[in-house]
Amino acid sequence: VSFAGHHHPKPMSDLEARAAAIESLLVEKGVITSEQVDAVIEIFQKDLGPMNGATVVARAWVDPGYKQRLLSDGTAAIRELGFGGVEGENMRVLENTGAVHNVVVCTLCSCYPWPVLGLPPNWYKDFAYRSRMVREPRAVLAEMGLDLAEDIELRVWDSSAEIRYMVLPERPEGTGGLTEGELAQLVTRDGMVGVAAV
Amino acid sequence: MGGMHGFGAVDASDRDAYHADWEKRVLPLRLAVILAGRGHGDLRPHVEALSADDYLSRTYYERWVLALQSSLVQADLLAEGDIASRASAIRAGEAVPPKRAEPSPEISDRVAAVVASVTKHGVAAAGRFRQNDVVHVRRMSPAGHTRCPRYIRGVKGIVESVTGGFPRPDPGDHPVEQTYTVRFDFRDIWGEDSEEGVLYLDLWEGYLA
Repeated sequence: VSFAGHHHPKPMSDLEARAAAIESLLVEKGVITSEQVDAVIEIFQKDLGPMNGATVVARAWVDPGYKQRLLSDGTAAIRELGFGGVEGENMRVLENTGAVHNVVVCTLCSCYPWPVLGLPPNWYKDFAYRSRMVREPRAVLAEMGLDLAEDIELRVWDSSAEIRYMVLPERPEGTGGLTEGELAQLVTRDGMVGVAAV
Repeated sequence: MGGMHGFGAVDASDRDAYHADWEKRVLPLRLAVILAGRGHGDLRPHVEALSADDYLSRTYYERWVLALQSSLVQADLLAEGDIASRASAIRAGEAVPPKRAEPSPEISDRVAAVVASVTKHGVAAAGRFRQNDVVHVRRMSPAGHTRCPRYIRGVKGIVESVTGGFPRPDPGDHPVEQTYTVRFDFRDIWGEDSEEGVLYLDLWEGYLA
């Protein structure tokens, strides 16, 4: 078996090979083990992701006291439900209402709240989103399928420092009969970034 | 990058976090180096030190590979020539990948504890500004890493909240400084014919006047 084994019908790019070279050299030097790398991958796949954020949002929708705590101290309220850690150490939750719509971007690079949303999608890291969301957000949102009424105040949050942001979407109409678990199923990653309604 | 023209439409269909399977190992590789206590410093200065050509033509994780390489070489952990020759051997199918076991529960638990840990607390810091103060972002043009986006320099805003002291990540001794969430009107940033809206941006005290 080689690095370029059956998983690679195409030749490896230079940078793919460099990534593999860095890993193998660090393993040989005893700095890291590949098992540690695998363990991190597993955590990103299993433990972090929008299902956590959806749990937080659904709780806020059914529990006014929790919602109040979430909006006043996001980090602590999210920790109450068992989520926190790297890239979620200073959380602020932004409430969408009938009058205000919030949307999050990182023009610098890719700041994103890992514990509640996982790793960011490619479009969030792409130059088009990063360059335009702070200049023509309504146009970008419309392209992404969200047409905002003109009288809604649009707030764009550029998370270039140490605070990480998550949007609390509005609870959809007609969901009064749903359980907390059913509500969580309605919550999407895009809704919690603010590029879609829920 | 904020405000630049010419990047076209957002491809909202590109919903995955990676462009290729191999990219999944890059960030975990970096975190494993941090776990080993050898990942000194932020990788972003290395990303931003890439040539404009590399920065604009590479994928996100390709930029990270170049930045990781640069940080490891700078830390004397690896030599660039060794990485290049190993990469050539791997491409030629001449290198044997290291043996790998399933992650043991012990490794998984230790890694999980690190990922769940909290290292960036805001701390109390003396600050000059209060909520609702009018501030101006300083005009500046640093060559290295900064968290003061170019598009906001010189613009007037209002302090929306005081958000705690954090080390300012610009090159140098990283003093702990008060940070603020500052609210800006889109028209003050982009002119009278801009879209209506407000921008919130977190800024270190040293960026403000």
